[in-house]
Amino acid sequence: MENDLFKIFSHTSQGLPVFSSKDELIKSFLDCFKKITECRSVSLYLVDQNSFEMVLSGTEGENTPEKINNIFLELVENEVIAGLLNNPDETLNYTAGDFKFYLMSVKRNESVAGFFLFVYRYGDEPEPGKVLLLNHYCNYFSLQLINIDHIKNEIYTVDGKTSTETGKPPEIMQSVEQNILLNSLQEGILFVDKNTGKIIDVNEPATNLLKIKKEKVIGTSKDRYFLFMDKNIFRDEIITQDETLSIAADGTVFPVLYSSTVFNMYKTDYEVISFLDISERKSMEDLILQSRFHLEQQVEERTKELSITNEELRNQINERIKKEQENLILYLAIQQSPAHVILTNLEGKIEFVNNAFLKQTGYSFDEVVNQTPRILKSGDIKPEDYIQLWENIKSGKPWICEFRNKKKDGNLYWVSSQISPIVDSNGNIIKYLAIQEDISQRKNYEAELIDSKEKIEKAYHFKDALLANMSHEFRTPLISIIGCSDLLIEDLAEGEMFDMARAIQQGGNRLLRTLNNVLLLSDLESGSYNFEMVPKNVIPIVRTMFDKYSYIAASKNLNLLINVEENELIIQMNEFFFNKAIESIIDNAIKYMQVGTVVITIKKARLDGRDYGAIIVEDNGIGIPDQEKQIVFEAFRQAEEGHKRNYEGTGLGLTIAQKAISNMNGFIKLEDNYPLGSKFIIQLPLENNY
Amino acid sequence: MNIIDKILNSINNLPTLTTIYTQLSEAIDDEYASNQRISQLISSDQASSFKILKVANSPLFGIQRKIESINQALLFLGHAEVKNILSTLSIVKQFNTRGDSHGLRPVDLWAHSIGVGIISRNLALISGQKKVDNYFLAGVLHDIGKLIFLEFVPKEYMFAVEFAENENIPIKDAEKEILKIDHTQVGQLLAEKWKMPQYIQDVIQYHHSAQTPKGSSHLLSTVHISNIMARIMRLGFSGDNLVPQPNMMVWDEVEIEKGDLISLQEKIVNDFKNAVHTLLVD
Repeated sequence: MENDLFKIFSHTSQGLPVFSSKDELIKSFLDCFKKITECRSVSLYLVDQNSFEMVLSGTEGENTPEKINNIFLELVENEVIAGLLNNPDETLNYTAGDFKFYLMSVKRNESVAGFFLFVYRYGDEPEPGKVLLLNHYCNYFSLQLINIDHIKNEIYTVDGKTSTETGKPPEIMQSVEQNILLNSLQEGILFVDKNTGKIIDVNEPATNLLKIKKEKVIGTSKDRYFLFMDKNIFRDEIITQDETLSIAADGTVFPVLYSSTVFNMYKTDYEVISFLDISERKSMEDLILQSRFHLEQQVEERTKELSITNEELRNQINERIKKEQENLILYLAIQQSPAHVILTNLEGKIEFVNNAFLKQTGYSFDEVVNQTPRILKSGDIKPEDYIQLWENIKSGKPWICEFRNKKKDGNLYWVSSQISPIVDSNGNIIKYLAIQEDISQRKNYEAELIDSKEKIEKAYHFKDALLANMSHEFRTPLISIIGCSDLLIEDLAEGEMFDMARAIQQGGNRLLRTLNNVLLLSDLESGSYNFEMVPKNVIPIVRTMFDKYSYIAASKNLNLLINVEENELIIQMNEFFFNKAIESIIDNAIKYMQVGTVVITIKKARLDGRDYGAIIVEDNGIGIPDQEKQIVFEAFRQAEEGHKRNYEGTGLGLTIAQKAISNMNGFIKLEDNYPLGSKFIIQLPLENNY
Repeated sequence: MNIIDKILNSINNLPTLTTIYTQLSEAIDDEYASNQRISQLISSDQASSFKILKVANSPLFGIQRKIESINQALLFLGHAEVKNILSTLSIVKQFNTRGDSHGLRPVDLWAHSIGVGIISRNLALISGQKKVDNYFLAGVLHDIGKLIFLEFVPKEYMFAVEFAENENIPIKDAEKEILKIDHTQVGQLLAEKWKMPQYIQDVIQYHHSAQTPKGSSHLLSTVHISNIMARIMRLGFSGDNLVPQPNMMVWDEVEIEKGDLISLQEKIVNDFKNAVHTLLVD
């Protein structure tokens, strides 16, 4: 109890004048109040509780004691005072006319001894924050009052004890009530000596907030407990109310609402600092702020999600559009395709056909939709083919076929049709697609081709018949002609008749030769001739031929030479045709020469890894021009044709020769160095090759 | 174990900065990291992100509109600034702001440090610096060495503070006398361990002289001046009763006029109150 406020006040009031009269006291306090409240029109009255008489009064201006007394009595009548008596800790505000009253009970030993009554002009009342200070002053005032009473030997008991000392003010004045009042506040209160900045007293809440014992606070600097207060050093002003941070003794920092009031008492400046812990309020503010941030964060995230979804949606739409465009292009391609496209469902009902189809068949779209392709049926396809068709496409394979379709007007047209199933991503067949191509034109060509082939075959047939007849119908009379001319020549002497018979004989022989050649060629071509092959040495055969032509050559004054490089060249051959071939080549060589040499060479030649026997017949006759080399082997052709044809012969010799040699697996080659003569090479594979 | 060894050991045993800070540092240094990733990283630590938003909204940064999400903070303040705010928060978290050491309380030293940070940033702004990201952090960290003393050798440091007061010498000299090592040296060691950028290390080591062996910089000079201003303005307490003379060479570098300080003081006090509120109250 030693450290209570009163002790501090009595300490601080040491050396201050002790008021001997109540008037002096009241005057001094009125000054003080005016300073605190900054009110121009303050009056202070002390009313005795028992008598309701004003025992003290300090009056300013127009507030006369009589006037105030009347108002007070009015308050009593209105039971305002009674209310205050029941709740002595409360203060009371009351407005009457231009005046405002502020009532506060003066307590003495737990009971109300009287009232302080402050009167202000309306609109001139002190700020609410200063009420607390007023409270302190009232307490001090009543203390002083008691003190004066004490001098007058009026003894009040304090804390159950009786002060025995009289005649001078007690050093320690205690009032439990005052103490309770100050300590029951929420605010911490510091009383500070303005000159030294040291704390001279604190209330209990202050020590609790600062977590420090009272005796440890006293004498320390107020700066220690606040992070910033009047630190605005550039301006010499005092911050009277602000939020700041308070520092507890353990170093914890907590936010406080801080207010400071400076007053002068007994010519000394004092500062009363009150500070209220606002941590709770601050943390509530933080909580609100935090939830706002949280909300904002969520909104942001949601917005982001939405924009992502939006983006996805847009992509999907774009994709869809792209796909639809692709589909459109595909549709147009199908629509404009020259092929007929028919799409059916699984039941075979037509769902779609393209323009080419409609144009070809003469149907309109509506006429074919929901029909089956049976409307096109021409009867070309047999029932068993249909079974094949369905088996194929049901097993997922395409079916390809050519058949005729019927148009709307009943006409038929040829198509090449491919029917295939369309499967979905799961492999299930969902539709059937038929793509048909109009092949009527092609079919027409085909028919024409077959037709002309038949005609050609007929012509061949006719030729064969002709040739077959030839031997009979031509040869028989020819033999008679030749036979008769032979007889005539034998019988006739030299003379005109003999010459005629001879011309008949020669013409007949030539005709017979030609006829034989034609028949031979025909046999070779038809393959009907019995082409028997035996191995033979070519050298003696060629020598015999050489001997035969040596005379003919000599009669034409030509040189015929033979040059044999081998002893033996065995060749699989048909001797008759070999002879024919050699004969026609040598014959040709001599026939077309007026002057010069024909050389026959027999040798071995190698070609493509095989051995050949080669018979080369070289002349230095007129030769064969390049452009005519091809035709010399054709039937009835000579290099020089038409009226220029100076040489006798059917033109069948080389044709027969080439056919014959080729039947013997050899070939005839014409090497020509026109106009210096020609060079025929017959090459036949040697026997030992087999 | 002698005092120096004890201090050096303590620095070695100090944990690295909080995980979120290291992760964020990596993410911000990675030029391919998106805002979204960084904001997710920060948002994952509710407490930190709330503090960042509070600091971001404080008048110190002077953003006109309200910043209501980490994303916006990254957008309006930039990566570097957000990272610096997070460094400041991590370091405050790392050290005790409580404790009642006689002579110098951690809370007073923090208030001083924050004050220097505030003044540095404001000076940088008024002198027309384009890149002001690092001024606040540099100011806050300049006396980090003293925090180490208070944390690990509080008794010895109390002697040093008393010694400085009694002998009327600068605290730096008293530290040298009593602890054989001063706060600039100790602070630099910690900054190195925490892989702080070189300019921060320079500020910690040379803020008294404002001169590194390689010369000076605007940042260093500004912190030097701000340190003295914070004492004059009595923002917090740094353990030094003597207000040192500024290095006159650096005034030109800082590029401030006398009138600037007068016009700034109200903003500084306001910023200071706000920052202290946010950083020191749990």
